[in-house]
Amino acid sequence: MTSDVIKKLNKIYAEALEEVGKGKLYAQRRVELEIKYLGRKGKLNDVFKEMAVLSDSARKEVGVLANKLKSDLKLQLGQAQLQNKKSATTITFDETIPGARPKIGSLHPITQFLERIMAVFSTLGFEIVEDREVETTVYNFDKLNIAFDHPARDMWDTFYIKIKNKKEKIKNKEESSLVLRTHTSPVQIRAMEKRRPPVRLVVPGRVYRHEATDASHETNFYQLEGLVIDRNISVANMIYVLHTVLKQLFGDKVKIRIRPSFFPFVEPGHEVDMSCIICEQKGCSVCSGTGWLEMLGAGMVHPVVLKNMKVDPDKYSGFAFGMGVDRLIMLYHGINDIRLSYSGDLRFLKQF
Amino acid sequence: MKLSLNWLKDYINLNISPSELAEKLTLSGTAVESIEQCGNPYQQVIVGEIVEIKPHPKADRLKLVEVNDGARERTIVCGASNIMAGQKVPLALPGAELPSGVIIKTAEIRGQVSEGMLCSKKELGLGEDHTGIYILPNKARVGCPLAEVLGVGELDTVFDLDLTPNRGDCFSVRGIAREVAAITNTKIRKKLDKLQLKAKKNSLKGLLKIKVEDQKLCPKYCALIIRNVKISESPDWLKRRLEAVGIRPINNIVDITNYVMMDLGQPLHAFDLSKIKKNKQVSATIGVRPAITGESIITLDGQNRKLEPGMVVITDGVEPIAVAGVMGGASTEVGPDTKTIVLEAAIFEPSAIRLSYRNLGLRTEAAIRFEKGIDWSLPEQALAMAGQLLSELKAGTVSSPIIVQATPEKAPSAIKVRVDYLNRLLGTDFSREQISRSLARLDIKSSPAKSDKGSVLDVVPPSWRKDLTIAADIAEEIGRLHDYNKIIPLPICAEVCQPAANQPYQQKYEAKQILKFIGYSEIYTYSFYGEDEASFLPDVGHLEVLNPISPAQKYLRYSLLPLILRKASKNLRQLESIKIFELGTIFKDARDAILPREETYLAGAVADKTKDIKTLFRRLKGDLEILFDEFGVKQISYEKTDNYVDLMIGNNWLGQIKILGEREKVIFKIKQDMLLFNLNFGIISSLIDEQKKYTVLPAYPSVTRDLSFLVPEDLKYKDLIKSILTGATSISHVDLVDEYYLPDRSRSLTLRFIYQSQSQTLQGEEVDKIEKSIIANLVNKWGVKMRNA
Ligand SMILES: [Zn+2]
Repeated sequence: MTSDVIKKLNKIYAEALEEVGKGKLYAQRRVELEIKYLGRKGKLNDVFKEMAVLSDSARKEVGVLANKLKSDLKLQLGQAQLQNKKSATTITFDETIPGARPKIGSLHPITQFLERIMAVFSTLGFEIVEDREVETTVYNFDKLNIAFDHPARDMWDTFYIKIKNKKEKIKNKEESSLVLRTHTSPVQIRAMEKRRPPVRLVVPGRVYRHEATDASHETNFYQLEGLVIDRNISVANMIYVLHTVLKQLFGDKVKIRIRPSFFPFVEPGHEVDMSCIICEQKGCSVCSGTGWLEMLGAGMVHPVVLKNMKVDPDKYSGFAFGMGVDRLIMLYHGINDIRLSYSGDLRFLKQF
Repeated sequence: MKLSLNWLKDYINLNISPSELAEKLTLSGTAVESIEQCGNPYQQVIVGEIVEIKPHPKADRLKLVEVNDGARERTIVCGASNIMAGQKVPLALPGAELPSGVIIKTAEIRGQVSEGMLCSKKELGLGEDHTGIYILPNKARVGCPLAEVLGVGELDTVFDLDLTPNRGDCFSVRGIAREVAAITNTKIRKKLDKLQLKAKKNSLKGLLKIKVEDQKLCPKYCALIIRNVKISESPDWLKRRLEAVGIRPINNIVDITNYVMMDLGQPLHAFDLSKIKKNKQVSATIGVRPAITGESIITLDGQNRKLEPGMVVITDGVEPIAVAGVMGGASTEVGPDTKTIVLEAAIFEPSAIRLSYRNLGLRTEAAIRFEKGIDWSLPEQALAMAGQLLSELKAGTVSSPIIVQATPEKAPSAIKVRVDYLNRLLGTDFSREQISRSLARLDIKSSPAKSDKGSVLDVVPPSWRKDLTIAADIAEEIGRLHDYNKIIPLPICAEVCQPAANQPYQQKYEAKQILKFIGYSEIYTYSFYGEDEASFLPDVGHLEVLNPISPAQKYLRYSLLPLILRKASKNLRQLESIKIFELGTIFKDARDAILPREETYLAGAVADKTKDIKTLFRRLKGDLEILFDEFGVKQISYEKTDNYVDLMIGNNWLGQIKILGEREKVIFKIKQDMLLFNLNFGIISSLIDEQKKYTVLPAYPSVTRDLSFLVPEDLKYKDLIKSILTGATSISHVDLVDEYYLPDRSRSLTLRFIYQSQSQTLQGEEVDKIEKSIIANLVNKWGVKMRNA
């Protein structure tokens, strides 16, 4: 028995040496041979497995030999590669010199992140829709169930636009005010003027809020709106879709938390939190120690809004959601000041 | 809104910790922003128990004391001699601030870490004894705040709540108590049941007339007269409660009105009755009416405020004495000499209140509550509570019944809720009974509707839940009580349908990608700019922002270029060369429509300190050619006028390349030459044809030859090539190899000709012949001279 094993070992060693000697030993080939002979599932280890049946003293004897062959082979492999390097002296150059790159530019981090998000939504069967940035108050508020005297109208600080030659233009009193859209939600209404359920839309775009700027507030920023309308769409579907999207964007480990909230265009309304990706819920300054990050506003499309879309709320239901893209890129890249996005500073932009 | 936990406990027994409560509130829709301890003069000072005393290895006079803080043992370095194991002592944890102002930190004392400090009486401001540690009674519970053991201060926990605007009923302690009762499935104490105002024999009711002019603006006005008013400071408990929720105590009358507002959610106002009376009349009148143009009032904060129609005012019959629901007037203010007051509790039309506070810029606590709508029965309850408190605190004598001027109460209407609708909306499977039981926790009545066999509920919300009007609202109540996180997520089950591709969106991204790889960096700029930027495009008629944040942001951008220039200028302070672009929306007034025209433009700037305009132009043009080639946009002609080059395809204007002018260089603080490009991306998008057609590969080899010409100054390359190709056979294509200008301003051009025949291998003599005819043609037509290579 013992001699059988020893024979096998010697045979493998001879085979290995022959292979090392064949042709030029480039780094890749060396790694292959190492795996083939010395790896965990390599030929030598296979023989080790057979040693189990041997007596203690025999095992010891074979073990010593095997280990010697193993270290020999390693040495041979190393030397062979070294030999190979020295022989490649026909052209000398420093392979550690930096590559000469053609000058390329960069894409804004929001462009890049939006593209990532769009790719995720596309695989889920969502259609990308874009629309105008200056809106009437009818589309920005009224049709979204935010009537003029609705207390929630104050939730949005709004930029108003002067209408030129107002008297000539106004035919219908309802459309008498222009605003820079405060959210991408009016696109829901515009999109549904040309579509019938079932729909799955995602709306990226620039929105505006009239507020003082600081490290976390900008007057111009990007939002992403989503809308799903079909028969039997439920909160359970909404949770599934939003969790799927956040997992795709931030990794499979992320958890979500749904909190009831209020937005006039949805009922029920929700705030969706994601487990903090920075501290993994141990508590940090980004999540204010809560372990959760506010990610999305969401909810089931309000029956009044469905009616404004000429969709029958008795037949169809749907959910909508919106998220601030600037905040997402800040989280994703660890950016601490939202204003850098609009600074045009190439030292910032070239980092992405 | 701030909420005091002690105050909340008036209404409800709590057997969960503040943090658990905060979590439950947050998950049921009342977001808790922060939790704070207050009323404790010894923050972070607790009762510790000495476990063991060991000598300090490096200092004879110090000891290492092992102290149990209730959670774990910590080592404290201490020099006192009066301590022994088993004693209870005050333990100041790191972060504690002692009355002397000393802040305790984890510190190393002679090489040993001390995680806090044991305190003497003097250190706690409790006496002069500093010789030894203050030994506490043995019954003191380990880990308990010191303040509790000493019975000083009143420990309280204050929640900062972020309430949603639909839940006006939650802007009070009682409102939150109801929420807490519902989510913890308990009941609140109905402390108002006990409230009763004793009818006075000599009622002063006759002293006051209430005249509501427009009952739509004020559906209910209630008043209570208090005599023998004694203005003084409020008792400590009352001051403490107000301070806990961020209200500054003033005097007993004001404090009581604030207390009732925070407790019940009904704002109250106190008028000095003697100051309302006109011309020493016996009776006084309180009126409610819309404000009149030109009227003004001095409010309690001393400001003279102009009133406008649409606002509602309280009057003394003639003159305004308060801005209804927002702030009282100075003329009827309660002061030290006040003897008789009228307490007002009313309901006003929310939109009128909103208009008032918006236009006056006065969003008071009262206004916040009025604008959300007041529960119908609240004014009477609030006056009863205020009357009782006034009596208890001996601040005055209730001297009238509650005087009420009101429209009839509207009966609540039932909401029909189909059980299957509710479950379908939530993705749940609740039975009718489960739904009814949950609703009952929120004081929402429900019963099976008669018409249907158990599949529909008639739901009647309580009067204070004005936000519940449709079945989806009821679904939300069920969802939030159940906890949305317990709903099992479900993928959408639907037919697979391919979404329509959004071509323009994809093209925009593609353009950005191409530009990136040929060296351009994308920037984002604001959609608005100021006068300087607008002067870049005079006479175009910019759209204006009505309420810009600053004058530098008053115009909507008509072009991306001005702000691109700003950013270029900023970057060129550090860089030799730049290539930047933006792809965004621009805004143009539409003559016949309210909504402006919005167009997508692709614009950018290139500059390089080491290159002149001619070189920059050729490079920029080359970059744009790559972009157009990738998009399959062909046949673009470039036409120069002054400092502009227009890009045209037939009659389609694609955009422009512009040389930055001297005036603009000054405005935008740019010193070097710069080229700008500005392309209408919408038009380009419409011309994109990415389907490339295959040309059969040549069967015979080609011949390559160069020719150098001297061409006159005004001869354009385009015309030269046109002449070459007209009538020529066997020229596959012509490339520019080299271009330079001679001192006499004529131009040298070296062209590379690729000759190719479809039917045979070209021989040298044949090529010579073609070359000759090309040369002859050019010499004749343009006066071109040959240069000998
Ligand atoms: Zn965190």
